[in-house]
Amino acid sequence: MNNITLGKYVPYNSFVHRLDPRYKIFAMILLMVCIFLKFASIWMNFIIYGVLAIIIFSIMISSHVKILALFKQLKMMWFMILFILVINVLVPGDESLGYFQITSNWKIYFSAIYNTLYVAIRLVLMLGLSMVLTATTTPLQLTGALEWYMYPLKFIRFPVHEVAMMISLALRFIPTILEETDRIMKAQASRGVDFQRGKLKEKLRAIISLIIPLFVSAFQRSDDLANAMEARGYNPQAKRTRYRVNKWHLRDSFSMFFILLILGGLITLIVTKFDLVAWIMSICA
Amino acid sequence: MPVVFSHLNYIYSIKTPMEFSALKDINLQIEDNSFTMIVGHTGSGKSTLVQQINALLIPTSGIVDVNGIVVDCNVKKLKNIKELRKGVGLVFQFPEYQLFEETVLKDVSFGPKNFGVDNKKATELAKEALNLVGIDESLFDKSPFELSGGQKRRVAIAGVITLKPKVLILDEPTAGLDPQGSREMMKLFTKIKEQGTTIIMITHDMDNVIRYGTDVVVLAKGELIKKCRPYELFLDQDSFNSLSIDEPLVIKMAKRLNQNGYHISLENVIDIDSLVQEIKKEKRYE
Repeated sequence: MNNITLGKYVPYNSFVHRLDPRYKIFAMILLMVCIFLKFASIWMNFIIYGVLAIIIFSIMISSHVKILALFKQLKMMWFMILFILVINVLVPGDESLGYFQITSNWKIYFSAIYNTLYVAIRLVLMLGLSMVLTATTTPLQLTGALEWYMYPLKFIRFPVHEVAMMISLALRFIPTILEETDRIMKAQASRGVDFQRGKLKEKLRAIISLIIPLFVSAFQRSDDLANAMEARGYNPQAKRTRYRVNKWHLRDSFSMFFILLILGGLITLIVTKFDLVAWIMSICA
Repeated sequence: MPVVFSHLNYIYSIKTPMEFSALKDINLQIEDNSFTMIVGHTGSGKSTLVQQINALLIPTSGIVDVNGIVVDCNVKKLKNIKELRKGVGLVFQFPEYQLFEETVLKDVSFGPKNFGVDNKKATELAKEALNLVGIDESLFDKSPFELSGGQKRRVAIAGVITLKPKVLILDEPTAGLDPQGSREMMKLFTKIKEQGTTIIMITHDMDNVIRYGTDVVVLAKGELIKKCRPYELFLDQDSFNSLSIDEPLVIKMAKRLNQNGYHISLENVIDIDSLVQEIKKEKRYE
């Protein structure tokens, strides 16, 4: 169970770890917007992806997130990328970018391959970004930040606090349930259950022997928790103070400036239809 | 079936910031057909130690030898892991959480079926185990979730002993039971031991250690402090005080009597009856 690396908080004390969680969510959204921007030419797109990849990978390195772990996650995405490629090949593309003529009435457009590559690169970068966010921010910090963002919804009578409490409780119990899973798996393994190998029928039985006890204890636990909260006088409508208050530091302003600079720069490139390749060629010529 | 640990180390979450060394250089032999008690603080590595015995955790370095089946860090996929687990039964803390089948009988026969025993034989074995733990036949077709806490635990324990393991490991089997249930549980384990099974039990209850144990293993902070006969643990006042182990009532009483002129040998004192015997002996000599 300890091999779940994706989305797990890792306690280091890096620059990114110390940033304000509200800002981290904001920065992640901005960088994701950057990933989805489209530039003047194909080559320009790839150059910008390269630059973004360097930025994102260096953020990952500085916050102790393993890049290797990112590429391990890719194993699961191969199928998806292949699927996108097939769809792209079957859909008519942009003829101006060139094509392979396979039979007289069947062409594979280069644009299909480019589009697939875009999607693949975007996926990798997005995965990297979300890994940085979850590895450097505790679930509680995340919900705290989400609650802050949802604050305006209070004016339309949206139960912001209740939803935030539900999310944080759910997140709080992930490690507990993982531990429980580990324990039940071990208990069943000593009764001879093999969770790795076996025929489909055996595997099904193995999973049932895990899921039923897990559900039973999860219901038990939530019942206990509800009682414990009520016994301590929990009232969702009551006004509450916070134990941890998010504070905006200079480092947050500084890195926000950096991110906005990137976004601003990229938007300028789009507006001016700047093409690095064409520009270099024009200089050389 | 002797269990031998040599130079065993175990580290959790190795090479991460959460790295934690749970066991440090354990050298230990648990004799055949003994009733070995493992005691120590929470977090001293007791549960980690016993999980090495049936390869639920693989040692970071060093070896565990269970009657010739060797588990060490080099073995990625153990070939005879099933054979090992068949010979070593492990009952976790609060084993009632492992129940899942529709009926008690089905749940208990789940184990044997996993090890390739056919349906009829598995049911037979299950009935035998349920009789041994004292579950009434009228409950066999009930859902395990309808039973009381104590009954659930018995059923769960039956689910492990139905495999007739040569080594039975118990992780605080009496936790949360009333004194009556706890006593009956211990009686059950003695019965199982008499059938030739080696029993390894994690416990905090020193009265049980002195009453039923043939050996006691003391762990602290992942290190093996001592392995001795239970009464020896209480001979040296300082050593067990530093381990914050409670002295069993009968030992305390015997010591108090000795301070006032009695000559009771602690070796023979395991429970109230034996203490009474010892005092009677003393009277006879006078």
